[in-house]
Amino acid sequence: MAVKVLRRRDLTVWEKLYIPQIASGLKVTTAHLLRNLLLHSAHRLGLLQNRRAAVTFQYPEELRPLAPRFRSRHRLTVRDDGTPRCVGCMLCETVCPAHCITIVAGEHPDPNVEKYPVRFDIDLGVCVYCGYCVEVCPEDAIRMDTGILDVAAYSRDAMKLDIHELMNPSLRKPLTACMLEFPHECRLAGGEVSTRDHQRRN
Amino acid sequence: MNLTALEPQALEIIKRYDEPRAAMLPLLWLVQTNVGHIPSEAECWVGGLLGVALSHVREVVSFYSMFRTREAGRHELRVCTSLPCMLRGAGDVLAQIEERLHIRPRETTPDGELTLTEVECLCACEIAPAGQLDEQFVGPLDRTTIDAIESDAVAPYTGSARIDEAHPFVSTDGPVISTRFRNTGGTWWDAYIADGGYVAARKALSSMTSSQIVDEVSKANLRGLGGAGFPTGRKWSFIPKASLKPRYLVVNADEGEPGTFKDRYILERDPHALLEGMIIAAYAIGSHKAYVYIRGEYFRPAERFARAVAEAYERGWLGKNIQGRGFDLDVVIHRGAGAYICGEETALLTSIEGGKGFPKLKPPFPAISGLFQCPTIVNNVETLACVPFILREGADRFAALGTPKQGGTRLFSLCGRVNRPGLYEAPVGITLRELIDRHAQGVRRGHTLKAVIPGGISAKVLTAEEIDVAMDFDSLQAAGTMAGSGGVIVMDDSASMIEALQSAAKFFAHESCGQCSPCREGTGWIHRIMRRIARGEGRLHDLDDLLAIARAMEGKTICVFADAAAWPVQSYITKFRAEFEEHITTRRGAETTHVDEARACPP
Amino acid sequence: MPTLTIDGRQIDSPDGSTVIQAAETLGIFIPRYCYHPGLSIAGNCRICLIEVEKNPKLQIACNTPVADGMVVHTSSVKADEGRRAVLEFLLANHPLDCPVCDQSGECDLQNFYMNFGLYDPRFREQKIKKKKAVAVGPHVMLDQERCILCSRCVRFTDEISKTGEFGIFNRGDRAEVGLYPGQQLDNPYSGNVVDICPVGALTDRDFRFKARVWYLSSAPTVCNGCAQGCNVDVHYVLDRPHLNDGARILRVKPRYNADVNQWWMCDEGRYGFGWIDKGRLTKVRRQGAGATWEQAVAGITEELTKVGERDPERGTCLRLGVIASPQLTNEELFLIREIFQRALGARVTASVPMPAGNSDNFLIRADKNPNTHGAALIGLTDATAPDAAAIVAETLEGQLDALWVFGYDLTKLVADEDLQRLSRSLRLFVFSGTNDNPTAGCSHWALPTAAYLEKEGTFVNAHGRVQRIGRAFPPLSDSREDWRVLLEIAGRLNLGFAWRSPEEIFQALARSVTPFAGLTYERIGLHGASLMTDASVAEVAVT
Repeated sequence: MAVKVLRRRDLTVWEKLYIPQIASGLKVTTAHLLRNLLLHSAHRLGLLQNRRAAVTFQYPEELRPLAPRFRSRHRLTVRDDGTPRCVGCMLCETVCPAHCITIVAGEHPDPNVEKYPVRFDIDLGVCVYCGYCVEVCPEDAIRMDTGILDVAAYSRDAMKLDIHELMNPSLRKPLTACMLEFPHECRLAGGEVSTRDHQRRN
Repeated sequence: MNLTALEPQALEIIKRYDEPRAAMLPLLWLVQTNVGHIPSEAECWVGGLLGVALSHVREVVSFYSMFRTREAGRHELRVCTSLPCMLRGAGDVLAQIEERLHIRPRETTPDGELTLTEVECLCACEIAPAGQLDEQFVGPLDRTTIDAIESDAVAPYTGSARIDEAHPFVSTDGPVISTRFRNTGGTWWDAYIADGGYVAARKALSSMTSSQIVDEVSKANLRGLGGAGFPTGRKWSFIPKASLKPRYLVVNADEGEPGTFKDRYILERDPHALLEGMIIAAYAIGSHKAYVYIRGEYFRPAERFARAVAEAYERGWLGKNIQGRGFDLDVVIHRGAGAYICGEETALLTSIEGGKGFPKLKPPFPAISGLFQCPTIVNNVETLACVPFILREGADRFAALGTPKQGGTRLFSLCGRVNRPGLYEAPVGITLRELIDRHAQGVRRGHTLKAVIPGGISAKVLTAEEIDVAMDFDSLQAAGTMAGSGGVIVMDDSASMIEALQSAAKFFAHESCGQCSPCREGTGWIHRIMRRIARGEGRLHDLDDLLAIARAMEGKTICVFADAAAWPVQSYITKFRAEFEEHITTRRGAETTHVDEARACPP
Repeated sequence: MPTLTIDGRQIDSPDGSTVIQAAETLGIFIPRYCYHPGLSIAGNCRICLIEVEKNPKLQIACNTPVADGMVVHTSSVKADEGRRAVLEFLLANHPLDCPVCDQSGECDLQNFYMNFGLYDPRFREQKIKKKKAVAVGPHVMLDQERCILCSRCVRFTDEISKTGEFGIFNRGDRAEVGLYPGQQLDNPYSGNVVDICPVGALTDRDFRFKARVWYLSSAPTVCNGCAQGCNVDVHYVLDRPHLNDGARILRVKPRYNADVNQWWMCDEGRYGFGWIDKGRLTKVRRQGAGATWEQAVAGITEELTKVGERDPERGTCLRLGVIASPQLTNEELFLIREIFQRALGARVTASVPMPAGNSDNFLIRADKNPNTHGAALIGLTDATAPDAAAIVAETLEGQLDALWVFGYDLTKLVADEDLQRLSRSLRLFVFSGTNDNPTAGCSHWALPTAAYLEKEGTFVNAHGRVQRIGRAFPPLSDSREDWRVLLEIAGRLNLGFAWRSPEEIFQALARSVTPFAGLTYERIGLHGASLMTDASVAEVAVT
């Protein structure tokens, strides 16, 4: 294979002088500065709202619009009766390349549903946000569409989500009250399965 | 309910059979006749008597439609909704009955008198729309009959029926089978003897060997008239000569093919003809025990045949050392309980053995290993009823009546939209057109012929242009259909092929035994698609799906029920595709066919 | 013997065999649901359809007897089409339960669809609804919708367990499998119907929802529930402690062995593995306090070296009693004989009284120990030898100064106070076993040992068959294999054994005990080997 020789254009005299280029660059930034000043002031006065000034998103007051397929924090979808749609098939746990999902299944009282997760944990510190769990789920039970990006925490432990947070994305740690009506492994009960209508593995 | 009181009868019944388990159906009938239904204690009682696990007793009870596990009314009205009756308005009739009695099928009137059930073919198509009140066939179910049923409901059959019996046309001139059919109350011993009865049997027992009889029957070109058309003589020759096991002759009187009602007339009007044929056949194959399987709904035919059997025993034509010729023969009458599939020969054998009507795997074939794993020959009623004629008048005479490959005459059951439904004896080579136009007097004035099913509901349909075909097995097979049981169902231009196919699909779905997967799932699938199309929710691709399902069912099952279920689907859709497409694209709901009684038959 | 050709390959198959069997000998797999080699032929699933030349219709391989010159194609276009059609019919009304069904991953509908199906389904109607999640017995769950009506369970309860619980009721596509209302599936072999059910209609209640099948690892071994020694596969999970409450074993399934248990096993053996992960001794204990193996071996050996020596105080020799167990492997019993009986002259027995359990004329033996026969052959249950009761009595009378109990709980023989007295009077009281019990509680040394699933070894069953047990996973926590402990002690006692593994111990055993002559682990293989004699104990040879 022949070697292609790239001929780079030599700098012009004007460019070699250096200072004119600095001025040219400053021209660009000054133009932006003045434009933004004008527009932001106009915004303050309520004018010219349709023109965007700085491209910076003033997070967290202003959120960057996310694509509908964007993979953010997970959530478990819910049926009408409050139980999760998840049937504990463990396909997501199996397909997860990072092994961050932990599921324990239990018996659902409705024989047409049969199975549901008594425990469903996702360790966000390990998760690689690949979205395979969403793709593989046969029940559309898990989605990564919450739009929640702020998953940072002060400890690794606090990054481990369990079924409470996953079913209710607005919950934040630490858990104070458990609103789930079905038997599940509850941190408030010391990690034991809550005894409400416990029918697990009779 | 006192079951111990029934024990003596039960033990007597068990003694009749070669294996105790075979007494299952008669014992269940014993319970139901005395108790009204089959409660759980009765199942335990029967299971205990026969040494059969409870689950298997329940299997049998749940399989047959006539067995009831719950209390029902004192009387039962069964309304037939198979194709021949639907063609003559059974749908409307059922609706009328429901309205008048204020109950739906499977429910009982509040006073506990009458239970209404919807059933598949009762094989009383000549009086369509037909029903059965307890043991009596009632039909056509017009306003008068329904009135009578509602008001009087019902003395159980005692011979003095409250409901008048209809008198459809029945051949009485023979030359082979119907010669004594004019005796509507049955042809009994003296009359039968006077007409040349038992001459053939005497000839067979005293001067012929087994092989001679088999040869004579083969020479006569007698073919199985139950539907398969297998040469009878050849079938008899399949019994292995060297086998030391007992041989059985089994008579298939489980007539069930919609459109057919011939065997019933033989049993009711000329039972000795069948019995004489049986004696000859048993002698020819070396059998000393014959089982006659009569369908559950045939109460009176079974009684009449039982009377003929009793007469024969009295006169020394059954039992030990018949007529001093050293030949023993016993006859056991076995009643079915409502399952079309028991008409399939190996399912019939399984049913006699005390099980559900599950066809057996072949190989081995019944002639080698059949009833109780012994060599068995199963023959149809009509086939055997021809045998005395063959031996008495000669095989050549019988053969000459028919075609070169199929001899004799047969009883054609004409039903549906003809002017004169009835039972017609004719040479097997008669054409379909002749049968319909000359014998059954054609279709109603103002209507044209649309389609004819020549051999019972399993046969592929023929269009009006195709009826110039001879009715023997080979001609009809060449024409792409089959002679089958000789049940001719006629449809005129007022009949909807969609409704016809829906009715056929319903029949097959209801009667599938469920043993093997293509048939069990396929029949149900086809039925559900047809219901959806009839409701007006069909799609054009449904037609191709139906054809594909039918094709997938063929040739993969234990018995030919699946093939029989596939043929109507294939032939109706192929030959009447435009009608199906039009129905689907215009999204019509199924039209209910109205039968105006005044105009149904000509004056 | 007829010769036929299947897929272009010739085979001689015995007269009376069927094409499906002949194909299997050739290694050709013909899909099947209702066919099971241990049950009668039903021929109702219709999926084993094959094309036989000169026959216009497809035939079912399970009921087509082989004939000389027959030419069979198992995957011609016609056969494939036929199979696909049958699959489509079977899946027509089958519920979409894969996510919740325990059979997922080992389901023949799934497998055959992937291998032989892959069609686009056409069924668009409402599927038939039947009963789901019905407990038909203490061990089996029924789902009628998933059933494909192959009738294997019906034939099993008719022909094998001979209890006739299952039936198929109704007709056509309303047909459903079930029991007589009010009856339960409670025969001693009920768990086998779960094995033979090709789909998830019959599932194990014990295993229900514990784990997905593809998480399981499998190890072949032999059940230790009774002297029949049914061959089994143990299914376990080690890397997901959140499942099954951390217990390693999830289920046990029978493994085919024509000579022992065919395809079956009893419920007691199938569900009796809970003790392997619960209630185990996990740490070495000395008088109730924690200790290390080093300390234990040292301490025990120190006392053992004094056995046979004259006790200056009493003037008699120190005597040792050993109560071995017929639950130990042949290798371990052999070591016990060599170390304790031969080298130390101890009073050794493996005859422990065990209440005879129920038995039947199928697989269940009254003797609930897996290796009584092995112990007899090795010479630890002689009529001339003492039994456990005698040894305990001798200990209580003061005739024995040291006692080592392998696994057996002495409170079955003596009262608690006597046990305490025994513990106080002995110089050395060792208990080694898998699970905790009162004897372990009052022994001087409690040694945690490995369960039979955690070690290699052999058992001899009641019929004189020696079979290998397999090691599925390492011993739990601090427990060690008995043979390893014994070898270490033997080493400290300078007995000069050169063996380092159960296999090597077995070699020595085979040289020493005549019925085992010539056998090696390799020859025993996965299906065992019949011992030479009918195992009369007197034939034990002395090296």
